Amino acid sequence: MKKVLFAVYNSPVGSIWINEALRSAFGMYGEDLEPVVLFVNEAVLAVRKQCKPEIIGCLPLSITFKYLEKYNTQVYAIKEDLEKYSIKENEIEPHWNLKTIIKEELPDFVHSFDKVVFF
Amino acid sequence: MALIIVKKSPANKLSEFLLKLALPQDKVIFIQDGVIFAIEKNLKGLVKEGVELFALKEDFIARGFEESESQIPLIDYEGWADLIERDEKIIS
Amino acid sequence: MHIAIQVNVPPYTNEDMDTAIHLAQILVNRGHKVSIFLFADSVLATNKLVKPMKIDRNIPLKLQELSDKGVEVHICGLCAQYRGITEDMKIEGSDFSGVPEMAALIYNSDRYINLLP
Repeated sequence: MKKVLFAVYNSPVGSIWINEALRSAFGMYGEDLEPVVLFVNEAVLAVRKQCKPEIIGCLPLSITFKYLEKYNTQVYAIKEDLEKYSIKENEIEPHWNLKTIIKEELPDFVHSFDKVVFF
Repeated sequence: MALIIVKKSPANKLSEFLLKLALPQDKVIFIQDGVIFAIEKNLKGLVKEGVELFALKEDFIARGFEESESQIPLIDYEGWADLIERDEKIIS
Repeated sequence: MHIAIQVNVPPYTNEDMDTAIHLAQILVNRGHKVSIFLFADSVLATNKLVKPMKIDRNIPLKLQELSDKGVEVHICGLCAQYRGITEDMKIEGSDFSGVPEMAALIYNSDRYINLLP
């Protein structure tokens, strides 16, 4: 089993990278790979229930939810970045089953993966 | 040990984020607009002690800099390939 | 050594395809097996119908030359469909694949170099 990290730093709205990172992550299960997704900087905006790219006609984030549930893919967000945008725990969409990580732990966390892909 | 590739300019916050991921013994290569980091006097202060820094020579010179302006070793694509062969983990 | 390079952004607007092509040339000359995985807008780099100015480089042609030297060129098929790149437009020697191929490359390669968007 190898571990692969898909870290997204781009905004969930107006860019495709959160959807692409998740699509990539779900595709990893065909091999002996464990994917983990990490939201960095404004990518963390994705986790708020009210975040809906479909409002401006873009692909919804919610299309990923049934696969998140099916594969139980781990999704992390950086705690300090959630705080920066005042995203409270009760505002987080439950489908993400979100875990948080503090910045201080990031170097060791990122190094714990065999392969790392930033989007 | 990991090789971290920084391709965005110092003005982009992601670059500093990536530099902070570097652990001692890691190597960082600046490519594309990331090479602009090479002229920063306090560059070593942006990473933990023991992190080795390199910039891609072609990208540096193409942006009009003199080799002597670089505060860190400039390496060509062969040098970059050496780093790739040496470090199993690549963060980019 | 098997070295995979993933590109994500379009050619000509960005330096990434140039970086990937140059690096692949060096790595293949050093005896490595090299695979290029083209994701999202980078699939545009396989369109052989492009007509750049004469003084500029022909990126699809350069990819084609790499392929002739044994470099695998994988194109995310869904990304290509999205952007209207069809079988008859793509360079010889490249293959439509997708995320399963990306997974295989991530699993099997000794080095995976993603050029982040």
